[in-house]
Amino acid sequence: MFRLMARDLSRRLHRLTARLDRAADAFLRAEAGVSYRRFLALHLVGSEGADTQRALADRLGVTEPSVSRMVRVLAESGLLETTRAPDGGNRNRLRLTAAGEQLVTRWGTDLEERLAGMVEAAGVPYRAYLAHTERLLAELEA
Amino acid sequence: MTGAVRSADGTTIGYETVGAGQGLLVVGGAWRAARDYLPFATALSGAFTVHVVDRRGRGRSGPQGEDYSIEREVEDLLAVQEQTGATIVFGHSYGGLIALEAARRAPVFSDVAVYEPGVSIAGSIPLGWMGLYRERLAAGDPRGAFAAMVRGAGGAPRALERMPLWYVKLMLRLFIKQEHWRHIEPLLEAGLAEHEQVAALDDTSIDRYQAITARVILLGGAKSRPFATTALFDQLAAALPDTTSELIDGLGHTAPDEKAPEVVADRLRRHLMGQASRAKSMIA
Repeated sequence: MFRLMARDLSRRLHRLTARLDRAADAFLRAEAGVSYRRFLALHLVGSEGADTQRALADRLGVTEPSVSRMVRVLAESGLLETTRAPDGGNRNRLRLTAAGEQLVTRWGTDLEERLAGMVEAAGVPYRAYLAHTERLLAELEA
Repeated sequence: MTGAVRSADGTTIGYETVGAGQGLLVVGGAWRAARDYLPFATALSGAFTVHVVDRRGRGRSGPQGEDYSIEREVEDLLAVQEQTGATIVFGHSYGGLIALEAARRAPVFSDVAVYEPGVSIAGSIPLGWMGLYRERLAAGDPRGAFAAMVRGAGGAPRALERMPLWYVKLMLRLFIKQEHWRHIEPLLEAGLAEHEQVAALDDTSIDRYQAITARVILLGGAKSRPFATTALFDQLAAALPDTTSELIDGLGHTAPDEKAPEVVADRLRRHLMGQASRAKSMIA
């Protein structure tokens, strides 16, 4: 029984993230008016330094044309702006607008609070679980 | 400030009072208590003395009791009315049904305002979820019961109606904060009994409301489906002597308690003030 459980971690993690992704996507579409994918892109631009289309494509693991479309839509919604790079090159810098920053901060915090409430309600210690997850991610991405 | 009164069958009915001005009673919907309407009441407190009723089965009030029916709710509301002397009543959803039922029995209100009242005409309110809700409650699955309601009650996005119950339960885990769920869970049994009353009062005609003498203000959200708003308002307007209705842009069914209490309060205040000035000009 223990062996089976231990071997099942991969699928359980898959189910966990797949379900969280679906729930977060439905929540953000309903409350913030953006998909989870676009929300993550805004977060990457605003808080993780993905300030070019190439960097954003790299972080999201998608192609540049795909990111280019996304950036256009986000810019049209007034959440993101593109500015000419200071060195005069042809690579545009991505930056959140005030509305974009507000959206990321407000709904990022809200989503995390809801998730934390859910984790605690399940009797799982939030901080320890977060620390374990961070360690796993660091190991995978090292 | 809190108050309490004994209803006709001896059950204590509690209420919370805020503000100063003409008396106005607030009667909330299913799965809600007085506390959920305090932002709405506070938004009205500059112009009215607002009494938010804890309907039986919640808050400071006694239990629903064995002999529960809409008649008990009407008795409760009229008991609070008598004690407070308030002549305006606002009812949300099931509370709107109670307000209308009370107004047709007793001519004590000058104004009855309702936001998407739970009036079902020839099966207009979807109640098909009740069987699964009852079954999930009996099986000790309160979240499943609530998800069955959310999926089936006509207030959720259409795409959600085709989703499996586990999916809707999962969505609600994020949509309903844990502390809010702790307030909803104890009201699940009561919510079932209340919707049994909605079903019992379903009729092909709403001629019974012709007896209402009060002015009736019909409010709804433009995001809600027509059975809860325009389709219902048209029928009520045809049956009642004095109605005004307004569909508010961007709002849905849970606007007075959750999404936009200030907006609904503002519209209600304007309607009530407008009617007051109209009454004055008629006297002049």
